[in-house]
Amino acid sequence: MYQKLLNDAIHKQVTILGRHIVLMKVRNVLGLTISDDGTVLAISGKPEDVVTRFIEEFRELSSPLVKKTMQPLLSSLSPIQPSAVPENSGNQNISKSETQTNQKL
Amino acid sequence: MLIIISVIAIATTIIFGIVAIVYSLREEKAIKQLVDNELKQKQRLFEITMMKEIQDRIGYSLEIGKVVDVIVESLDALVSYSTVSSLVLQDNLLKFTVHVKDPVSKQYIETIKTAMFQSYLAIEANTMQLPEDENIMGAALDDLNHATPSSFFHVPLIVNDRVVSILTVASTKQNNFTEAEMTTLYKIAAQASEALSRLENILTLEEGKLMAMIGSLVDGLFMVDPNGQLTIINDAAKDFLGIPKDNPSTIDLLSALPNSYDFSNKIQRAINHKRVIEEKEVTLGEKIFQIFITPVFDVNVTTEKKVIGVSVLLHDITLEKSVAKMKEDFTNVMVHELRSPLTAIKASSELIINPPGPLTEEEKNKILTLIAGQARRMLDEVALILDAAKLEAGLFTIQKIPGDLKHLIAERAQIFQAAAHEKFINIIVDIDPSLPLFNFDPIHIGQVVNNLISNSLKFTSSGGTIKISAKPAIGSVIVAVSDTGAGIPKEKQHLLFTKFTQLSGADHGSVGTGLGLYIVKGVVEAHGGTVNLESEEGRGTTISFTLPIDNAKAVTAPTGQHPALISAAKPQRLTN
Repeated sequence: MYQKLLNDAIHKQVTILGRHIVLMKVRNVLGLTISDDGTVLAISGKPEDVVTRFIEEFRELSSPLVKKTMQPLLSSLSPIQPSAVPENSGNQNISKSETQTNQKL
Repeated sequence: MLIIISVIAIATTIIFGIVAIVYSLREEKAIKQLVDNELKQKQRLFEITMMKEIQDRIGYSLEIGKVVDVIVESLDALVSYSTVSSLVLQDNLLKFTVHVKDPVSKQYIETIKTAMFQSYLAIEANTMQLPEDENIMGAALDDLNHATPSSFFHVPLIVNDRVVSILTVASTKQNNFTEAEMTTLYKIAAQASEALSRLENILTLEEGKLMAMIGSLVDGLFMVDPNGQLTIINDAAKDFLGIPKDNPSTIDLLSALPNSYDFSNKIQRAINHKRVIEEKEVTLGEKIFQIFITPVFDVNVTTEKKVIGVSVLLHDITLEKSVAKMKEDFTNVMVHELRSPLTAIKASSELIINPPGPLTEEEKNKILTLIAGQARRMLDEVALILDAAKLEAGLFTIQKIPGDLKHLIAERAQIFQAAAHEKFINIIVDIDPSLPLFNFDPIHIGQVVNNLISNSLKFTSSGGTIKISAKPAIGSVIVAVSDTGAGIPKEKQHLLFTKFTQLSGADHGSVGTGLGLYIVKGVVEAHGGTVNLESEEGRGTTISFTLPIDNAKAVTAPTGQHPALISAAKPQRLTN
């Protein structure tokens, strides 16, 4: 489910923002492996965490754009699932940011 | 020994080499760090400069085109590019503009335009059409150049959840833009979007306040743009012009204005001469208006006054005009009213001074009685005018003394019996015997009763009935004079107690000063009472008034004659 949601989101963002910027941003997302055409090849770790990081990456570009164009992904995270918060302490910064992401959006 | 020295030399060389490599790497890292920092500083500076420029340029205007222009003009400082294009939503249409830096082909621009339109539709999913017109600026196109937009990115500008623009930076070179460069532009767009959204919210709020204020105006107000298109209209203007309440069009407005008024020409004059045009008196339907056509200037343009529309204020002067006419009529009536007795006095006195023959005592007395009667009539009229003037100036006073209202009413009704009999009108007096004695001004209340009976007589046809009643209520008495006369049209009832109002009635020959009911109201209100009117055309009129029972317990009827009989003035001619 998450792989399809992410694939759809990536392709939509490619149309909206352009291929170069989208691929650059998606490659920054920890736990996401994509091909050169932007297809999701693998998701490592908790998919919810990956989706959260994906959303955060694009929110840095434009928060209103995420709100308008990523509803399926946002809905998949809402309400905030406890499992979306990473358990290990090394990812505490990310987990805080994830929570903020959902609240802001 | 030689071997040892060689080993030491090699080891030293290796150590120095390693140290050199380490230092070299550190230096390279430091340089890279410096370059990165410099780049970050440069991008941050670019962001700040750009935002300040946007703020300065847009001021209090929501022109998205201006924001896009600022970004486009400054883009050179951030990235190298071949073209930068914008798709701006304006008046529900998308406008496409491209700034060409490298000589690209028409096909290149078409590709960019299509990609931008698809980007717009992917966000908004509406039925907007691909713009046909293109505004191409900068370097000349070169259709022999077959380069394609190898790298590009779209930056949407979203204001309050609506895409208002797409900005696209493109290059013929592969991978021309770094992530940092693109991110900087997105950040600028995000900040601009936020600033525009805030500004739009403030403007919407202010517009709401302005519209509420315009809506609450008693005067009619509407605004048209320089092309004569209606932009704002308040409810009062819609009512005055009789045009639809919901979304009235310019055509509705123009068809409501008389052709002779030449509205379009007046608007053009106000725009061309940049001054207010005042129309002192314009009749629209049954109403008369003073009209002010005022050019509206763009507050954002300070160098030269730019007219952005024309406001039209409709000030209803129907009532003022009506009052002015009443005053004019009043003057005419007064001249007539005073002239008649004066003529009679002059003729009568001349008859005594130069009689055509010897006059008997009886004849002389008759003439003198006539002169006295006419003089009294004039005095009554003048007293009426003085009372009205005092009322208007707030100087009207009453003298309350203990009195018997029962007796006063009966007496006044009796005075009018003869006149009523002549007109075959029946006067019925219905006074509650339990009416208490209390303090009131018998002279002025006598005037009030006279006036009401006199009016009823004037407006009731032969065979009709006038009923005068008085009864106690809680803390007051209610006196009413009803007739079976012509009644008063609804639209004129509100004028009845104003000065100089004269209504046409059954007795067409009667004229009056038009002050009677104005004084009735003033006298009753001076007592702390109220006047009430009920009238139906063709069925009759009832005018009633209340008088608070003042000091009733302390009042006792004096022996002998009632105070009302003692202090009440002689019947006065109070006609409307």
